Amino acid sequence: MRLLNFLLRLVVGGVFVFAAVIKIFDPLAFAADIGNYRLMPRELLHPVAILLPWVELGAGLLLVLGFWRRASALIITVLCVVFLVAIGQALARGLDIHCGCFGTVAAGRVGLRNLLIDGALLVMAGWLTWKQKE
Amino acid sequence: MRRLLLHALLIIVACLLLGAVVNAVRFDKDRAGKPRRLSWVTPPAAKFSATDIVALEEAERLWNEGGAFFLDARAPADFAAGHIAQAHSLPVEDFTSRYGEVAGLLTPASVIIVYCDGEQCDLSHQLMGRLRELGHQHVRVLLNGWTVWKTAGLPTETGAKTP
Repeated sequence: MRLLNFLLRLVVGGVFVFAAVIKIFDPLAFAADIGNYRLMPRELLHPVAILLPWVELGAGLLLVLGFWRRASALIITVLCVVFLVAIGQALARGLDIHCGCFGTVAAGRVGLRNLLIDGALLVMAGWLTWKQKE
Repeated sequence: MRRLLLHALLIIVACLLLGAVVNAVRFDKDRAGKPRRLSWVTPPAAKFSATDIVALEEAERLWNEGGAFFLDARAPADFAAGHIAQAHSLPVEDFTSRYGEVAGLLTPASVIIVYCDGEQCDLSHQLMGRLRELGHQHVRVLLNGWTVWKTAGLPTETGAKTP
């Protein structure tokens, strides 16, 4: 169990660190990506693009390092739920947009694949939140 | 449980502060030379004026007459997967490095139609702005261009290169 948790922490934390670094290097593109989702008032796009990647980075890094690991897993779980809702409504509305999940590294139209990746991360992060010992 | 939530809150606050500080002090620039530091105030959405837009019928007529130069603002992979026949690829993201590929084919008087895909796609508008900065006066956007062109059954091509 400890080995499993360790591996899950590396995977989930690593993905979040990776995604965050890409966004931090191109906040303008990230702002455009989240704008495409048509979910929040335009005024919030830049503030969210400036700040959100750092929460991803911090939580991902702490999860990999194993410091406050349950709290960081909890943050990532919540983020995964938010992303799930965002991607789900984009698919339901048939929006022709990029996911923006990993910047332009995974370009292409947002689709079921993104939903499945996020769902898998959600399950793993949820597991780490509930089953992991501090 | 309370400690868990407290820790999560502390992490979030620390990350938000870090993000705000880094954004305040960073001075790096992206490949297009724009600063990566973002303003906290989101600029208003680019508005089209009526003269910025070309209707599908007119775009089709211009295409048939060879009277317009079509530029695809999307990513190279999207272009390769399918584009308006005889269009050239000029992704906004690589504008500076790739403008040279089409510069020789254009004059300031050329009629240029730019397009991307999706009602919300902003790339063609950005491309129009960049081209106008360089003195091209007759640039217009075909809104939701790839989709409306394809849906209308007009000529398309695949592949990265324009013959």
